[in-house]
Amino acid sequence: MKAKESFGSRLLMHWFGVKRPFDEYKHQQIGRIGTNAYMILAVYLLVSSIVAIFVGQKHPEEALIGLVMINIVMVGFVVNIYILIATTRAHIVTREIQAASRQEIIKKAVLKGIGFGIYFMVIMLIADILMDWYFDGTSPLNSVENMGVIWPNVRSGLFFGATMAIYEILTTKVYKE
Amino acid sequence: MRQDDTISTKLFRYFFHIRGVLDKAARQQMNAAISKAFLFMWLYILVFTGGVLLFVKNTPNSESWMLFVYLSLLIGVGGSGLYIRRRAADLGLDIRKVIANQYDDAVEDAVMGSVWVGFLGGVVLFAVWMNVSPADRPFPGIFAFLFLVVACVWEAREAINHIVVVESDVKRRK
Repeated sequence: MKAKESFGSRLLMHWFGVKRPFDEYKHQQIGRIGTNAYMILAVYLLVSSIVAIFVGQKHPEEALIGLVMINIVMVGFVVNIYILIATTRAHIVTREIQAASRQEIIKKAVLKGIGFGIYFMVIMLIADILMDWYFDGTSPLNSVENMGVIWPNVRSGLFFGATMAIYEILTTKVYKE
Repeated sequence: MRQDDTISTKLFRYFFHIRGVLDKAARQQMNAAISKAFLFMWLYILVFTGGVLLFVKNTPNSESWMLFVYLSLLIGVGGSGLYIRRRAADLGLDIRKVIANQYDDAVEDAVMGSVWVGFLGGVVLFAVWMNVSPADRPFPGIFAFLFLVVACVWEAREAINHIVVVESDVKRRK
């Protein structure tokens, strides 16, 4: 009988972009990659915090801006790129399909891309409106009506959706019988 | 620490206070726990960055945002490390089992390893403490130095306490 997976374990697999079924090999690889990523982040957090404390005593503003920028680069790019490369090399993000179901998979990937695009656009738009409201005092109603706020988010959504659809198609491989 | 361990395994042991046998199954269970800690830390850094950005709007030139940095050390590094160590303790990996004639060597290993870990941790805290402006620092530098010594002794004491003497296989068979 198949053991029931915990919510945390399933969340981890989805977060790393691992395709079902979640077998033993995939769990092992995610554990290995997650441990390496944790080591990178833990050392980074320790070093960056200590540096920020030292620099912040004399130059608080520069230290703050530096810390925020490096945090974004580290979390958004360095760790994510490492995970992307490591999971691709371990062949745990690829899905093998039969040649007959290729069209169906492409259709699903496009639909998924549209969904992700809309989701991303809405989230970014809400974040943009809230930030304008908090930092500049712009009324949320004014922001919603302003095309200058909406268009960049629509473009971001289109880019994100297209990237996700392409990624989904590229990680699907047709196996030879 | 075992002599035949690779550098990454030795780091792994020091980092998470693992003193027992780190076989494939134990390593996999630890990896699963560390991956969860990684996800927590990743989210924590995102929330931390957002929190700092929102906070700084009101006090852009103040040093008070440093409170977030201290919290970062405490929650991000300390919290996730504690979770992993608890997991290692649940799996019994923090205990080193040795036979009677290996006890002295195990104690020596434990003292050497722990003094290094305690010393490094103590130096970091010492440096941070001494760098805090004297007006905000309630205790003098001697307090920080004392902390360094206590950290070394505490680590060594913990490591020695986790050495268990077991009967050898030959003795057990008799």
